[in-house]
Amino acid sequence: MTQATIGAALAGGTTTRRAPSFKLGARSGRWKSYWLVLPAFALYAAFMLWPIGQTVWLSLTSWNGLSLSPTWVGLENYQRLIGDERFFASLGNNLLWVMGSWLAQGLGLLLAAILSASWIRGRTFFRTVIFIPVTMSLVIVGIVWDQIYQPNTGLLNSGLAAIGLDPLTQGWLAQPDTAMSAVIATANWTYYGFAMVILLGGMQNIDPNLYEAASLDGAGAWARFRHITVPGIQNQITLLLVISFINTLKTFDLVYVMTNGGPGTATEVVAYYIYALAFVTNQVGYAASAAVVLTVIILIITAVFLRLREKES
Amino acid sequence: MQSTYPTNRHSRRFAMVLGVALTTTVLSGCVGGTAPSTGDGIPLGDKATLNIVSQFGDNAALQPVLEEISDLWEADHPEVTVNIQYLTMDDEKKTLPTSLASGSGPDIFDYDAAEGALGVLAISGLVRPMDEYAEKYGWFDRLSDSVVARTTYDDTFYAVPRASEAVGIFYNASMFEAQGIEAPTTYDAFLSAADALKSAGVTPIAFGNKDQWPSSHLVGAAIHATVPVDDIVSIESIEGSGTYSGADVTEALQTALGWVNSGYVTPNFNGVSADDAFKSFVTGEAGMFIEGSGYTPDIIDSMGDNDIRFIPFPMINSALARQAEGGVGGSWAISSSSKAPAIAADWINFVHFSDQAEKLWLEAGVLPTTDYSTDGTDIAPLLQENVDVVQAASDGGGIGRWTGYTSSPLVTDAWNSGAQEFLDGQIDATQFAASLDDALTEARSSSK
Repeated sequence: MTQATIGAALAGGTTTRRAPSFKLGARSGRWKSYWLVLPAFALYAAFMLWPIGQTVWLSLTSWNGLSLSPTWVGLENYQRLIGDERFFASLGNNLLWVMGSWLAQGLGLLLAAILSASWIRGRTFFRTVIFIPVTMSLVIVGIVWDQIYQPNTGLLNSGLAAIGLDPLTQGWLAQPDTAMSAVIATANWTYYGFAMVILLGGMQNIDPNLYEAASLDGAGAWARFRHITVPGIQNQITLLLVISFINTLKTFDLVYVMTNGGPGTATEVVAYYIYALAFVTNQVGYAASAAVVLTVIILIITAVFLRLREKES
Repeated sequence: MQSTYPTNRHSRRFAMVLGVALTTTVLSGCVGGTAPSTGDGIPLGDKATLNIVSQFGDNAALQPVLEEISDLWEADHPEVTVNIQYLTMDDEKKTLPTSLASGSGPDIFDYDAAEGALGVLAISGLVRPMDEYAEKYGWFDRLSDSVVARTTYDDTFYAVPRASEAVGIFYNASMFEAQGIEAPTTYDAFLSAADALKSAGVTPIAFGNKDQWPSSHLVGAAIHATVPVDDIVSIESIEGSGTYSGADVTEALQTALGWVNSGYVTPNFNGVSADDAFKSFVTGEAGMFIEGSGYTPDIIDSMGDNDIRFIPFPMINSALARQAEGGVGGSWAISSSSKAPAIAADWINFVHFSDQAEKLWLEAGVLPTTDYSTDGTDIAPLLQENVDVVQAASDGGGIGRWTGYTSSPLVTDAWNSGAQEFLDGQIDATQFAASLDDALTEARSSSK
């Protein structure tokens, strides 16, 4: 095509000559867009849609994970799940964990408020130190804290004994009334730094003039925090609540490393129970049904959370 | 204006194609499991590679022994390359079943010889039956019926039991001597020894149940000292009809709980790992260790053969002949997907049944499952005591089963959580036994 022809085309040639080439280009463009999406979609289908579909299908079967063919049982696994006390007990532990994570968020908020004050010296150092646990592998964290909680040789009991608090020493992971709190505390140790950084980011976006104006109006530190800081970081708080909720419901690694769900089933969470069903007692079909229910629960609660937040906004 | 975005018609068509493709793949159900191969595969003498998975990841002292014996076999079969991978028992249980089901498992693997462990793999078609090789090599002439029974499911022999084991009492002889305590030969003497150690400020029995399985050995010792072996076998098998709720089992559970309540075992045991309990025993923090003879190689490796002695757990029910918890620890099996089963069988025959191998295993602390005689062998006194304990039980009432770890993974799961709660006083013996029976009933009904 010559330059003159191109120029004519751009200037506007006859419709009858231009229309077919436009249609052809559009159709070609459409298919091109499909092809461009295909690699990403293929990966998504292979690693997300396919396993999800397979899990849903397995949840309708009885299968030990070893035999050649699963047996179709329809909704039997879901009916059994409704009466499974252990499933609901483990779900209860998850919810306890969710509430425990709110403590970490509260601590993160407190630290963020303190470390956002301009008069604090070495703020960057403190922020970095507090954030370090976030960068650690949960498995490593679990192993280290397991040693710290050791009843006879652990650092926690040794420390308590050293300062004369012998009566408080105990088997932190050995007793059902302390094991769950000990595991949640470990999880929180890796989380409050993350909450602090997210909330700090939100605080830094708040207009300093608002604080100045409030001070001139006689608002104290608490009033400024309550009426300026907290409303200014609501989006970050919502984000943290959703993230912690999802992470907590699917949590597995700390329980696996530190307690195996014990003592008894005191620290068993749903993801660990699903693992035990599938790989310890070889009830893969039933485990799949529990996994599907857990996924649905996470989706529903996340959707409700986000919808409420949108309404508030 | 014509959009450059796909029309609804195109979107629908594209979505439909993808939907059909996805649905087809999902419903095709490509889930695990491979059809077992048949025939002898690569004949002995041809070039081949044998991939082997061993449980000695937990037991570093036995790895060079296996290497040495395997090298001896390889010297006669230079055409075969042998690759041995060592896994801990825990890792093996988590990874091997799925790799076998996917058809990518090893040729030979060493696995727990129990109905609820190897039996599950065998019944699922993942283990190659070994009757033809047992006949060919004469293994049934070397193994006792009770040993063969451990790896026989649905009347088919699936694996060669690798080591005899029995639970007894390891005790610190120099500590006993210093405290003026005699090695206990009766149950009353055992209780007196525990009291004396406790009075001396020593933990009488090292026990850590964080890993959950050690309770099977501690409580199992009480059960096997109280309940006849035939009854135990009836309880610990899918085909049996026994239950944990019987009066004698409940009494044995109460006995074990009594040791805990009397302060005989390590405090906070549910938070103490098996490794830490073992360390507390070999470092002299505890006087006794109620465990399987399988710990012997580790004890000799860490302490030599000086201070630690091994004796039978004394019978509580004096009307019974000597018996013990235990059986076999590990077994050599061939995967059904192996392309060289004949070569694998020959390797097993050498590694387990040859005189050279039997001698090396015994010297390393692995008790034979065959008719191999220890007479004339120069073995450590602790090892000889192991042999004596196994022999005494075999000659008496018999060696029973691994309590809660034999019949089904469902029972094992119930045992693991239930024993922690029971020994911690959260549930009583009746509730614990009932939870085990529930699991046993489910396992038995699902096997039909």
